[in-house]
Parts: sequence; C-alpha cells; structure tokens
Amino acid sequence: MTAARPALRIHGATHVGSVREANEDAMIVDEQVGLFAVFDGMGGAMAGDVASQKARDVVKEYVRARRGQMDPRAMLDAALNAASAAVHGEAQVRRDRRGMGTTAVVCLLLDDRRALIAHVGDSRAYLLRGGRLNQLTRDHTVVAELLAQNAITPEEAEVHAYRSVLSRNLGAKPDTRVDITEIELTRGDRLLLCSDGLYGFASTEAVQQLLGSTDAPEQVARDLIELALRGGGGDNVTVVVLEAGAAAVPRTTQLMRTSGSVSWWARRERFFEAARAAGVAQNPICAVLSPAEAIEIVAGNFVEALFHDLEKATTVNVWTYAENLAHGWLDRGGAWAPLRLILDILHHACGQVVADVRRDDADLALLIEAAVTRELTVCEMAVGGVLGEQLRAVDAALLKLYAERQVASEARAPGDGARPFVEQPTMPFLRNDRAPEPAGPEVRPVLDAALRVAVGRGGDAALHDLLTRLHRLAVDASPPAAVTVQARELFGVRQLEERAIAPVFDALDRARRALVDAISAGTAPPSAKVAAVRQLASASHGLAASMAGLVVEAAQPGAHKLREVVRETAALRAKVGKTEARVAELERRFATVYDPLAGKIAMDQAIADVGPSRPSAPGILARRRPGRETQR
Amino acid sequence: MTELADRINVLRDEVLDTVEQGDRDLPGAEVFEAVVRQLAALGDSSGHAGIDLTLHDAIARRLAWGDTEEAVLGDADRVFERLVKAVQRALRDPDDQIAVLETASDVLTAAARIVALSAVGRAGRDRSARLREELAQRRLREALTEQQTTLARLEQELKDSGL
Amino acid sequence: MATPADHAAHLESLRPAVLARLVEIRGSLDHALGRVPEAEAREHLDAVLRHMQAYIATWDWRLHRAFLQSYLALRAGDGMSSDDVIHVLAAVGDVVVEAVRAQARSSTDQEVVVAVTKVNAHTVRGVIDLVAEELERRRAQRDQLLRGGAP
Repeated sequence: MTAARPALRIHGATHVGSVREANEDAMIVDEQVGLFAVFDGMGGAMAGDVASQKARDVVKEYVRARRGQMDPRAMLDAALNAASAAVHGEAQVRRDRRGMGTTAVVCLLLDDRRALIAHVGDSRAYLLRGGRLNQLTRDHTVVAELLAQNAITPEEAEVHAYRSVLSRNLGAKPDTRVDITEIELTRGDRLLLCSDGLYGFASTEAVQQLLGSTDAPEQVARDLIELALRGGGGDNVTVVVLEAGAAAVPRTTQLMRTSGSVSWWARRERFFEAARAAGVAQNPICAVLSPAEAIEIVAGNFVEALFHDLEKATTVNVWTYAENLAHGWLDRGGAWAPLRLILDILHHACGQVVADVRRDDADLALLIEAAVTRELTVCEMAVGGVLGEQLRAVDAALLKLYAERQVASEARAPGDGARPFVEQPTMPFLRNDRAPEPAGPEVRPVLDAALRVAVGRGGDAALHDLLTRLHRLAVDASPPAAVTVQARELFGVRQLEERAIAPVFDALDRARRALVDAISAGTAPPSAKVAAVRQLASASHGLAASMAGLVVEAAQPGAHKLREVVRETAALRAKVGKTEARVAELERRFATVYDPLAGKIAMDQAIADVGPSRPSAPGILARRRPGRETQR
Repeated sequence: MTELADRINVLRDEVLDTVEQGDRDLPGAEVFEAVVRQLAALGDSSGHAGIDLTLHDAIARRLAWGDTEEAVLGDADRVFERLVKAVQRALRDPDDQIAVLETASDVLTAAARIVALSAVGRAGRDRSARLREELAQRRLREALTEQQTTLARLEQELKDSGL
Repeated sequence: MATPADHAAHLESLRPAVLARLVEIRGSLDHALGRVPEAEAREHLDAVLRHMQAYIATWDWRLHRAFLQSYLALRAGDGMSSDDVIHVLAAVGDVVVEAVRAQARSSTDQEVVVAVTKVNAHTVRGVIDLVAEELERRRAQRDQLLRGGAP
C-alpha cells in the first residue's frame, strides 16, 4: 500500500509471520487525510482480527468525518475512544469475542512539518533523524508502567512474568486513556509505525540501519518485514514507513559515496596484500581454508561489504558481515582471541589503504579514514551483539544450574527453623479465630459413604491420601490451624518448583471431584447431599489456601536474602562511583601534562603492529602503554 | 449465559459487598467473575471450561501491581464465605446448589494454585536475581581493584611531573 | 597538523552544546537515563564526555580501559546488558561526531572528526574485549558448576 504527497513518501506493509495462522494486525495508510496507523489485535479464536479491523474502520471513519472540524488532538483522542467503545461493544454481544482488544499507534499529519502521534498498547512509533532512532511511544504494559514508576528495576522487568500483559488497550473498557504527542518533522526524517511483530523479532540497530538506508520507503518496509521473518517471524508484523522528503545529503557524504567508494574499491588489492602479510590465512578461523580462500572469503567479503556501505552511505553490509563471521566462529565454541585478531587485521589493512590514499589526496584520506573507522566500529558492535547473545545463553545455563543447587538446598518442611508456622500464622486466611461451621448429624454418613465409594474406584496413593484428609477435614469441620497441619503434612519436604507443587493441587481437585461425584450418585436426601458438598467445598478451599500460604512462606527466605545481596551491591556501586570520580579528577590533571604524540598512540600502534607473530591472547592491547619517556 | 450463571450474577452486590466496598476494583471480584464464567461455560455445549486464563491474568495483574498473595487469598476466602451463604439462601434446587459449590471450589483451588505458582515463579526469579547480583558484585570488585591501580599510577605520574 | 591537546580543546568548546543535545535525547540513548532527573543525567553524561576528552588528549589506553571497566560494572548494576552499554557509548560518541562534523570547516576540523571517530572505535573495541573476557569467565564458572564444584 503506497501513497505519495509532494514532500512525503509513505509505504505500509503487513505479513502474517511464520508461526501464526491468521493476521490480526490491521493498518491505515490514508494519504488524502494524512492518517496512518497500525493496530495489533488480540483475543484469540479469530477475535483479534475482528478487534483490529473494527478499530481501524472506526478510527478511519471518525477522522475522515471530522477532520478540520475539531481540534486534531481532541479528535484523535475521541476517535480512539470511539474505537475502544466499538470493540468493547462487539465483545459484549458475542461470548466468543469476550476479552478481545487491540493496540493502536496512529500518526495524523497536521501539515508537512508537524504530526500527532497517538497510541494505546505496545505498538510503537519510531523517528529516525540524523541516523539516530528515537522511540516516540512508551509501551502500555504493566511492566513498562511499573518501570516508569521505579516500582521495579529494568533487570526485574526483563524477566517479569507479566512483561507482555498490556495495561491499556482498545476494547478492554468502553473508554481508554490515549497518549498523544506532537512532533516536528524535518527534511530527511523517517517515521516508523509498527506492531510488536517487528521489534519483538528484530534488533533495534538492525531496524535503525534499514530505516536509515537510502532506499525508498517501499523497499525499507519490505526489508523490515523480511528482517522480522528472519528473526523468527513469531507474530504478525505490520510496518508503516513515512519519509518527510529526501534528506539533504552533506557534501562530504556525497564525496564518500562517489570518489570515496571508488577509491576504496580501486585499492582492494592493497587491502588483500596487507591482510595477507598480517597473517589472515594463518588465523585458526581460516584453518580449513586455503590461503587464497582465506583472502577471498574473509578479506574479499569485507572489502565488498564496505564498498557497498560507502556507496549507499549505510553500515548494514559490514554489520551483516561481522555478525556472520562472529556467529560462524563463536557458535562452534571458538575462542575469542582469533576473532579479535581477525578484526584487528581488518582494521590494520584498512589503515594501509587509508595511508595509500593519503599519498594521493590527504583530504579524501581524512574522509575515508573517518568513514572506515565508523564501519569498523559497527563491525565491533555487531560482534559485541553476538558476544552479548552468548553471554545471555551462558547466563541462562548458569542460572539454571545455580537454581537447581539452590532448590535442592532450600527444600525443607515448612515450619522448620526458628518460627513455628502454625502457631504464628501470618496470613489472614489462616487466622485461627474463624470458627468453622459445624456440620449437621446427617452429613457424616454421606461423607463416609462417599469416601468408601471414591477409594473403591482406585487411584494412586497421593489421591487416596487426599481423599482421606479431605474427608477428615470435612467431617470434623476443622479449624484453620488443623487445616494448616494437614497442609503441612501434605507439603512435606518439597522443592519450590512448579513440577513439585502443581501435582498437589491437581490431586486435591481430583479428590474433591471424586467425593462430590460419589455424593451426587448416592441415595442420601438432597439436603444432606448439599450440606456434605458444602463441608467438602469448605475443607477443599481451606486446604488449597493453606497449601498456597505454605508455598508463599517457603519462598520468603529467598526474598529476604535477595534484599540483603541487593543492599551489598548498592554499597559496592556507591564505592565504585566515588572512586571513579576521584580517578576522573586526576585524569583531567594528567591530560594537561601528557603528550601522546611524543610517543605513539597506543591503540593505533598496536593495530599497526598486528601480524601473524602476535600472540593470540585477548587484551594484548591492554598491556601496551606509553612509557614514561613519552612525557614532557 | 446459562440461567444459573445469571442467577449467581444477580448475587454480585451481595457477595462482593458493593455497599461497603464501592463499585470499582472490588476485592475478590476476579474470583466471583470466574465462578460466573465457569457456570456459563457449563451450559455451553460448544465450549468447555478448561484453564481460565482470565482468572490467571486478573490475579497476575493484582500481584504485578503490588497486591500481596495474602491479600489475594484473603479476598478469595471472603468471597467464598459470602457466596456459600448467598447460595444457601437464594437457590432452592439442591442440584443447583451443588453445581455452584463445586464450581466455586474449582475456582478457589485454581486461584490458590495460581498464587502458589506465582510464588514459585517469584522464588525462581529471586534466585536468578541473586546470582545476577553476585555476578555484578564480582565485576564491581574487579573494577574497584583496577581503579585502585589507576589511582596509584595517576598519583605517581602527577607527582613525578611536579604537579 | 593539530596536536591531541588541540583536539581536546576543540571538543571542550563544543561540550556544552553536545551535552545539551545528549540530555535532550537521553531517553532514546538509554532508558535508565531517561528515567532519572535531568540534573543526574547531565552529570552522568558530562562525566562520559569529560573522559572522552581526556582520552583524546592522552590516548592512554590503560586509563580508557579502566574507565570502561568501571562503566560496564556500574551499568550492569543498573540492569543494562553489555549490548546496551556498547550502544549507549557508541551513541554518545556518534552525537559528538555529529556535533564536530557540523562545525567542520577546515582539514584540521576533519582531523578532529577522525579523532573522535577513533575514540568511538577504541571504546567499542574495549567494551567488547571486556565482554569477551567476562564470557570466558562465566563459561568457566558454568563448567565448574557442571562438574559439581562450588559456583
């Protein structure tokens, strides 16, 4: 779907993704009205697409009918509220659509230089200006709002169980709170509206690079969809890309895209020669390649990627090159040192090319040096991303192993330790002062008969144990303390893990249902049956709540310990912060008396010295330092 | 919605004590609504009750917004007590009474299970957070050692340069 | 050809404008900084800029690495991943490059652009070396746990 305005180019695209069967996203690209939007429906069972399409239609119609007659901000607010009411209304009418809703992110152009962005939910708007991507919207998720209130830390947010729970959407209620901001558009800006199917499956930097390329919005939208699909495409993905006129390209950039890239390409042999001399073919990463293949694959592909980047004023090719190189090596369990060495060889060979250019044209060499250094930084960033992924994977394994240890050491009977749990219950539902309602004399025989029938139907030991406990609690109309004792016995020495806890609740449900079935099938008078079921319900509820209470209690020491550790970290951080301030103060004084040109710039020299003889150890550069003789 | 679900829904004000608690954010409303939903599903031949994700989300939301597990279970307990009394008074048919009591028991066990598993989840997150903190502490200690070395070096360099 | 001290002086003249820009866009640079009061964010970003300036004057890699190590450790305590730290530092560097580039008139100015671009390259390189070292350590820790040793 493409539209055009004199100063704007716009394109929207949507894709069902690789996993979902239906596309629950919807969008608006209405160039005539200047209205663009993305909706991401939810609610399952085909209700999500109903919600998003309904909201789309309402917003579109509302804005079309009232544009020019209302204050634009009030109009957008009202349009989204009308959409929420319509979706909510639809959900009330049909049971299979109950709970459906949709997110919305809407852009309304006020003129060619101003726009309003309205949103509800976690669909986002981004603005790319000067190569930098800014997120214009803040997700309306429970976690994002807790984060904004500083109620949780970013670290807690990352692993929060409810990080995907929306705090606002269109349809949950007839009205909703809409966030609206006004933005100024300048020439060259690119605005992106998208559903979480994009940012959930593509990195921000990849989005930034594609959005920042010189391609037309149509191609960018296609590439963004492709990016999300390559990232797994686990959700529907929808993007709308708006470009506020092509950016004025700086003279230096124009020069790089023409003379710079040509000059780089013309010196590729110089690059290969430098890479060869620095020992690229001897690097363990190239162990299975012949020397010629090593040059072709490692150096050749880099030279080509960099050439295309210089030509298009982007960094996406070099990024992809470095990411592939790092994945290819590190995913096989390769060590860091050879990869570091390869990166330094590339850096070194770039330096040789720049030195070559400098002999012919010093000004162009400066431009190329800045551009190539930027590309090398991007290379390092891409590798850093892969390292970050590896770190997260190792962390996950580490956490799992550590947790298994902790779980094993935490397993104990509740009530062990200093504080007797039953005598001092801390939870309101376990209070001892609530007198149980006694059962009438007609109930006991009904419950006894039900137990006999239920036990006679077979089942495992856990079920029989629960049948007996439930029966006893129902017959005795036991006070909460007695229920807690039963729960504690049931809990036993149990690990605080879902697989250890969940089966007890399952067994409790099974036992209660077996007894109720037996009561219902029995021949007792109806009033006695009802009374027996009431006693049973009360006993079952007491046991379930007590069990939950014990689990909560058992989890508490871990929480206390965590608070202690967090306090220690905070103290340590404060100390590091304070020492850093002292270092910074001395560093500033040091900078006034130190002249690095008297010697060599440490890092540059290290890269110039790169070669096959360099020991393959990380941090080698860290050991290089200017000697005292370099001081004035 | 089945007739029975409708008749229980009518008891909402009584069970949730709206006179005392007001009409918004009623404590334990998620449990009452789950009972009504489950009763409605009982009479719906096209569907089955299954896991009540709405109840899960409602409790999850309460916990996420800072309500304690104690509060959630305490509210559920109060709703259960009031529901049992209201049903005893309002429903004549023993089968209806049994159906509601059984449904309420299902929902209450589900609620207790959600709370328990949420505590289990939190315990797991606490363990992870503790390890992360310990790893962060190790990095901070290393940084501190490096800072001490840097400080000593800078002080020496500045002293040597006469500043 | 200008000296590193000249480059640092040039940066010093641009520091207020660069700092203002960084404070303005801090939310998109770094979510943690977006949530703290402006004065606190300003102080934080100014410390980074001042360190960059010191590095451009000295090119003392050991000092730079020590700074990066502290920065990484402190930000990890804020819950930032190593990728986030790389991006924040690279983004701060990019803003400085943009500011210098916007002012660039002569080849000396272009030298400053190259110098600042180099600072960014060194910074990112330094951070990923530290991340790689941390990865090696954690792998060792994991292997030790797998063998049944103490964490």
